[in-house]
Amino acid sequence: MPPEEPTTRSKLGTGVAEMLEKQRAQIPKPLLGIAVWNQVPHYDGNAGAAPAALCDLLRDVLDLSLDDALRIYTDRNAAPVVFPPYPDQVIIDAQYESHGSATECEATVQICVPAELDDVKRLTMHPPPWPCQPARDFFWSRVEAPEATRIPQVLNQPWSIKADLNLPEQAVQSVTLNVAKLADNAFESQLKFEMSANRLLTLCSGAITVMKEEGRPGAVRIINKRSVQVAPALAVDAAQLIKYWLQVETVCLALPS
Amino acid sequence: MGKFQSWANEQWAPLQRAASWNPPFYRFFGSEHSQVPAGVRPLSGDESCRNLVRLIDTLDGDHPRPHVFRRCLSGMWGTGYRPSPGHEETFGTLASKAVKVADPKEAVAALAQYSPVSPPVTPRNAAPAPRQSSPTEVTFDGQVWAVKKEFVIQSEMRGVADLLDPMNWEQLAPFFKQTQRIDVQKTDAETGSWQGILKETVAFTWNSMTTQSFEAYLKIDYTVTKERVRADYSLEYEEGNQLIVDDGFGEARQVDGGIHYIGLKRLRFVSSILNLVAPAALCMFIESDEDGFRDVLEHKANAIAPPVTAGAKPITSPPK
Repeated sequence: MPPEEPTTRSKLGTGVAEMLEKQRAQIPKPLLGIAVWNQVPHYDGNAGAAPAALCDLLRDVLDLSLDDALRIYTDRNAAPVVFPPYPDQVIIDAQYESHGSATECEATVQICVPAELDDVKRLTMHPPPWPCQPARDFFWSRVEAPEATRIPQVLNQPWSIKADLNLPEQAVQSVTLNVAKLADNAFESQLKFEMSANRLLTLCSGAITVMKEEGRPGAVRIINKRSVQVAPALAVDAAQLIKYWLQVETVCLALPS
Repeated sequence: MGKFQSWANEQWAPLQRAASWNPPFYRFFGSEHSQVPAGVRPLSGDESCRNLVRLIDTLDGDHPRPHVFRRCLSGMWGTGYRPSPGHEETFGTLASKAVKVADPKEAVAALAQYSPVSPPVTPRNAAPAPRQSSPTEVTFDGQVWAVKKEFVIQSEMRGVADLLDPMNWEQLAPFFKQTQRIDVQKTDAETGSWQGILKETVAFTWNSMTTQSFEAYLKIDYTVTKERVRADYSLEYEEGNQLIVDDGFGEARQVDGGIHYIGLKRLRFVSSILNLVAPAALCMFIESDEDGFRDVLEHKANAIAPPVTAGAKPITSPPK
């Protein structure tokens, strides 16, 4: 694939920034932060081409100039910055790992934030349960979860959710998720899910763990793991899709707006 | 069996603290320690022996903490201490009491198998004995020293959980002068779990001249379940602003054959001198915790090893 022309990239970037600017009132702040943050590396070495709308969003949402954002993003001495440096939120630690190809990818995002385990568990364990709850209206819509009383209270007993999957630039896809609780105690809770094969994803499964952070009273670690295999109909890079998906979902759990 | 001796505010605790500093110091610095400031250098081996004799004389003629006592002596021996002629008999008698072997020479030889520096030699082709305690791990991330220790205790979870409760840490090691809960944010009467603030007064007696105390206020999350208990802690502040980082956890899990314990502690002092000796101090601290668990739980289980057999000499104060 030939390198993208700077003018094309600039036009695309302007379009994205203007779209975000128009819809900012409807987008939760942590998600807006990710969307803006993911635009930053496109202007590494070419800050002059950054659209004014992006600079305005960076200033308003993350309290950063483009130069500062680029400096943080490209600091080679630091670990990769998984989440943007939100000005009003504390992220103690975050990591992202992935491996795979353009069609298959497995990735894990971890984030440690000041929070009580019970509060985070409430987001993951109550219907409509993870993974639909946090990123609802972004990756999911029309979630039909069973009533709480129909969810098994024992470990490893699966239950089903019908939902509409809403991937970027794709028609809505109805799917069934089989969800099971693997652990639930005073230290941690863990859920896994498997999605039925469909037109967009031939394979999608994952697990989420929320746990008290060792040696840090009042902090919680969220580990969100996912594997996807994209179908030919979904012409997107699996690694890019899974990263954005996990970022959005995890930030909604960790930093509820 | 008498009431178990707590370390908190005991007059003899400083004697043990000072003696306990000798082995870890020499383990890290060896004999080439001339650049370590005198204020944090330990007692000599002979002085440490005299401390232990005074401690034992103060009590009933026996050391109330067998594991602490044995680690101290075996550590001294393992890091190269050899008593001067006037202290050979004293050291032999102490060793007899520590390892419950009547003959002082055999007792001194037996100390080696308890030393963290010189582990027991397994005969060729012999199956290794099941390990009850892993080597102490020390790491440095460029800012903060961390120490980790894992061991297995033959005990019921209940007893371990009680000792893991931060309010009871003062029973574990001679460095704890006081551990007092001063604020509670959440409690669970059914399990004993709680979250709140602990005031912890810790003292290091580096030698006969210097004792350094820290009054730390720690944020605590003590979580108890049937199979697993953990105490997480992190520094809120220290009265004298002497600490930058002090956090970690102790966790006990029920496993086949007992309780598997993991302790981790991270520490950074303000003082560069104290940061120099921090890894040795951390080892002393976390290894004392292990001894504390064993001493208290064995005492409670009434399962202390049999008394010294005939032939062991009564301890007497060595020549000054």
